[in-house]
Amino acid sequence: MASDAIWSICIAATVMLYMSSRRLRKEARIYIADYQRGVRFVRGSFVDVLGPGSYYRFPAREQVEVVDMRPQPIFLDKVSFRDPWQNQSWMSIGAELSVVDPHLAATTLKDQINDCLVIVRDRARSAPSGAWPGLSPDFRTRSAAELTRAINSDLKQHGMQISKVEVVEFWSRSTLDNATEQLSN
Amino acid sequence: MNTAVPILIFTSAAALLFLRLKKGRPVRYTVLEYQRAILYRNGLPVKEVGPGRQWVWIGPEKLILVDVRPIQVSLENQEVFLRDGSTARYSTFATARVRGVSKVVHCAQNYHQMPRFLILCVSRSVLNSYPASQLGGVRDRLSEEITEHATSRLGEAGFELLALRVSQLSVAADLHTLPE
Repeated sequence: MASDAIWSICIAATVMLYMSSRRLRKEARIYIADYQRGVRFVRGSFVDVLGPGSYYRFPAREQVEVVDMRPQPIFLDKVSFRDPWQNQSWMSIGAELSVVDPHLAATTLKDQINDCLVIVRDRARSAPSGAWPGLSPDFRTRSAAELTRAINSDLKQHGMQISKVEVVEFWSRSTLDNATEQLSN
Repeated sequence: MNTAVPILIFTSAAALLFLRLKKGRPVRYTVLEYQRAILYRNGLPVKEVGPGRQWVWIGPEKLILVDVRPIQVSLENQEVFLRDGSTARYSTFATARVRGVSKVVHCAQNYHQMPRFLILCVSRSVLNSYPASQLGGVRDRLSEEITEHATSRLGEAGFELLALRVSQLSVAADLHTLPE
């Protein structure tokens, strides 16, 4: 009788252990690769940022949001702005957006890329001021550096940054006037 | 003796389950001939894996698959400002494929977008540096220049440029297509 009871208890305990381990396995393991970071919250409050590895968490009290740290290429086509002579000008910019601070990026932005694009486009419209006229050989390089500084000052508060900024295309009324003047000379 | 057996069975089952939770379970993945993979262990890349079957311990290990089939890039009816302020219209068709699996995985959140992005940047940048008056005479050199820059930029990102062709190049002000 006693051995029957022990058998029953052991079988029941094994079944319960198996069921709870299946449940744990499904929900609790989170995998973070080297190009990701995990922002960990316990009962809704930020605790820390997890590095690469495989982690168990208690779903009842822990939440982990995985943030991709790899760059996202963006292309801003023909962004319009006013040159110092108030002429309508356009430029196209290629750049890469990436996450610098995963905690800020996860908590201040709903959609990291699309929300940052709005900020980047707005800044690009107002940033170029120096380095005129547009025909100078290093205009693009200097404009790109100036744009990078201006945009990153806005993106810093969201834990994001822009890099490898390249002014791939530029058009200004001033450029056209210069070209016309050169042709007539 | 009779009581020891169920306790022993229970203890063994508990130990096995604990090991399975801790170490994971082995699963066999198949990497197809047009795929390559990187095996990650505890979040860090360990090795690159070619086509074939690969054991992976689900839990501490993960297999990231990369499709190495050629990526087609088509940029049609693109408008670009030229150096003298006029506008040109062009189309670019290119083919690229993955050369460095590890570089490609880390180059962007979605590596499929990278060839299109780089070829767009390079073609716009090169064409913007020419005035309309020179465009007709340097057409062949234009394709070579774009190909050279694109090859270099794609190589840095882990891609290999297989082919690139610039076509339908026309200057909007003159309203004619430059000769092929």
